[in-house]
Amino acid sequence: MIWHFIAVGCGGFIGALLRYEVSTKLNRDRLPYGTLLVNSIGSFFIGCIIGSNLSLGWTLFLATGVAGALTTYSTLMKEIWMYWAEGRKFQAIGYTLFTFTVGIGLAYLGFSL
Amino acid sequence: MRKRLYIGVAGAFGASTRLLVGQLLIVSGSFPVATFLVNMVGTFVLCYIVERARLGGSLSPLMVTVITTGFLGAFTTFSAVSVETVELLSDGFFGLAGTYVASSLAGGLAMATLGFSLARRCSS
Repeated sequence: MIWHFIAVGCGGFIGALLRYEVSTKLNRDRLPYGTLLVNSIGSFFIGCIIGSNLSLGWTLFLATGVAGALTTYSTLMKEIWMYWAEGRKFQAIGYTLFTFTVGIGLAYLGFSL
Repeated sequence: MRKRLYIGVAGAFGASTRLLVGQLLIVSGSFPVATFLVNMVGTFVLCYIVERARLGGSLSPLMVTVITTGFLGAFTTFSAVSVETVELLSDGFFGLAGTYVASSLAGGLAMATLGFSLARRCSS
């Protein structure tokens, strides 16, 4: 049981750090490309893992840990909300549609591979 | 360098806490309640902290980054929403998949609104 938390924790360390590096380098005022990239890659990656029936330990480490922490929902919502609040409604709607369509599409692709 | 270490450790705790919520919530049914719940709570807290910090709260910039990018970023997850939606679709639960995405989106934006407005009320 404690090993499950250690596996997820190790994965979470890696995922969060990767997201920080990508976000600080790629997020722009025009669009948070960094957040979009980590959420898209993470969705593809988690699809591959869930679709390939790995052992529980590896699934916890890679899916719940790495992919779970690499992607983020709270920052995504904050970014959408701020675009809307600033009156940039086109960005808010476009970013939302793009993130969800690409994310679910890539998760499906990874899952089916 | 130290900043990266803090963010990584906070991320480890965030992801583990998400696992804990999943294990404590024993819910029957196909709706991914655990992911939904962590995403709602995480979005609310993140928006509250970001807005409090912007309005001159007492947290240092490093602390804000560690909590928001590290802990809350890893606590909440988008990839699980994607893959759970795909699983619901592949099991034939089309209505539930749509409900899941719609409620995650509407709920997340409502939580963001709540977090931002509460922070403003507390700061004034």
